[in-house]
Amino acid sequence: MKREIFLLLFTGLLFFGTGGFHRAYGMDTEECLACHMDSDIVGDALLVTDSFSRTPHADLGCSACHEAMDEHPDDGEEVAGLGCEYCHDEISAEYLKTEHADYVSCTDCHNPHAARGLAVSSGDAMDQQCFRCHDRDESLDRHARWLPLTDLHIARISCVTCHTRILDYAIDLHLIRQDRVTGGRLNSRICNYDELKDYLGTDDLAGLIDTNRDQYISLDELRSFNRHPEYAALHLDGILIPLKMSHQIGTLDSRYDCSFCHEPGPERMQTSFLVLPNADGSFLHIPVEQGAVINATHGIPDFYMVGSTRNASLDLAGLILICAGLIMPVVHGTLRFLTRKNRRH
Amino acid sequence: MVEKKRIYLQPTPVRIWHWLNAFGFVVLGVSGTQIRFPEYVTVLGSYKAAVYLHHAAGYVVTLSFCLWFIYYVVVARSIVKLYLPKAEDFKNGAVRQAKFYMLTYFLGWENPHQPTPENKFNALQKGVYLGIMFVLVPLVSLSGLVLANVESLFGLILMVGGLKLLIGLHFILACCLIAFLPTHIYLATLGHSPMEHIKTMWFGWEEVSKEKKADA
Repeated sequence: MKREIFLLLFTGLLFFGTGGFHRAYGMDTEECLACHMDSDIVGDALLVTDSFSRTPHADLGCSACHEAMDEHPDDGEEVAGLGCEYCHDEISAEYLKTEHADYVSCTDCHNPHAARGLAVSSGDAMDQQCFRCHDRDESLDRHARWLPLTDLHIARISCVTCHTRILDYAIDLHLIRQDRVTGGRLNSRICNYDELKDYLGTDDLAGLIDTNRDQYISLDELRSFNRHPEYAALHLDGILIPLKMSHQIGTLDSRYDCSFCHEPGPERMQTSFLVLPNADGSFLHIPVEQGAVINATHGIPDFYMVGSTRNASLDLAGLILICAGLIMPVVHGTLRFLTRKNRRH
Repeated sequence: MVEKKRIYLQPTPVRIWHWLNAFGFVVLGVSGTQIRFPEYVTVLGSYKAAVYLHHAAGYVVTLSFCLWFIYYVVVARSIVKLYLPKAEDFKNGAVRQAKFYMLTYFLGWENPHQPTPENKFNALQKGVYLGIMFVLVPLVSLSGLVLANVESLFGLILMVGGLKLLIGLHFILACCLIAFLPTHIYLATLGHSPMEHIKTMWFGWEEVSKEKKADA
């Protein structure tokens, strides 16, 4: 009998000690979502959209972050929960050291009910988060005080490229449409999924360039795309992004020095990804052959960074031209010197 | 008997344009070199200074080119006469002038072309300046203007073949103009004295020989 009582107590302790109470008696995820995905029931404020099911957080369930209770809390009552730092401890520690953390919490930038991770995001999508607080026009004005060609830089460099402490960069290549031009300016830089699908008449956007479907874009595939008459109005445009993310957000003195980016190096400008929109709002990243951005004939005709992506063959042609310009003065000058006596009259 | 006489060959607007253009070209060449080769050339200090200077000089040279063009077309009305080679230039002038530069100059012969305000350039100069002033300079200026406004003119850039093509074109055209400079400066020293033509471009007056028969 004592043995049975001991086993019963031990099982009970295990049950409570491992959080079994929450799972056993708290509301489960399905119950939460039954209401919180319906705006007629909960309104906008507590609405969880379809995108939640695609986040890694959905696998963990509501109670992983929100305190689970036997009964639904009263309307307007804050539900206690775990902070992001509980799981994302390293990122949180890094971020909390920055001044940015004094003003902005994790969830101000990252919606935990929609966050999908860097692998399915894009530089442009990240910038849109920044522009929610840092008004784009105001940011342009502030940068224009010191940054030449400000609108070009803001459009082609993701904010986090300069405002985080990352030294390794890649280039995200997006599809843009030439026919979307108003007054010389492209009125929509990056095509979304529906635009491209309607334009191409297919939902196989990757097959547009990745013709052999090997999830890798070779220089030959890029050349075929660039020369394909049916795709003449489609162009690849580049945005500079960090190769990995950091939450050490701030204004860095080194970025005021233009040669930080505008100087060639063996590693720079080698890595790029074709970034295509998915139907669910995320992005597909397909690695592109190394050096494609610099390649003069096969690569990306519309991405160029002065000083960094210059072409060696073109440099050689320029040098030959300038040297050719010296032939006449040198040869003629030498003969002129040798025959100077003939002109003494 | 050879008589010397002074002619007013280079009017003030042309001289102002020439030296402004010359200064602008040097600034563009140096700043452009630093912009393209920042790891080798740092003569202007920061990269940003080179970019700003390149843009400013580009606008100045483009504007001065427009003023030069307007002056010759509207005020002097001599642009066609001065720059467009005539049939005679193709038939005899070019060969005669090439023969002078390559042979008879070394024998001490006189330049077969005597400049006048109505016929300043010899046949070869006309051909070269036609290419430079009506093809290279306008193209390098236009491509430079577009490159200084990439974002606002991006649609246009796509239409002309892309950013890389435009930058490559701008670079090669600039190299052609830089290549012309040593020849231009050298030929300017081929007068009776090395400084004769250069002084003309500074002061406007040139001394020309006028052959006179003894009994005339």
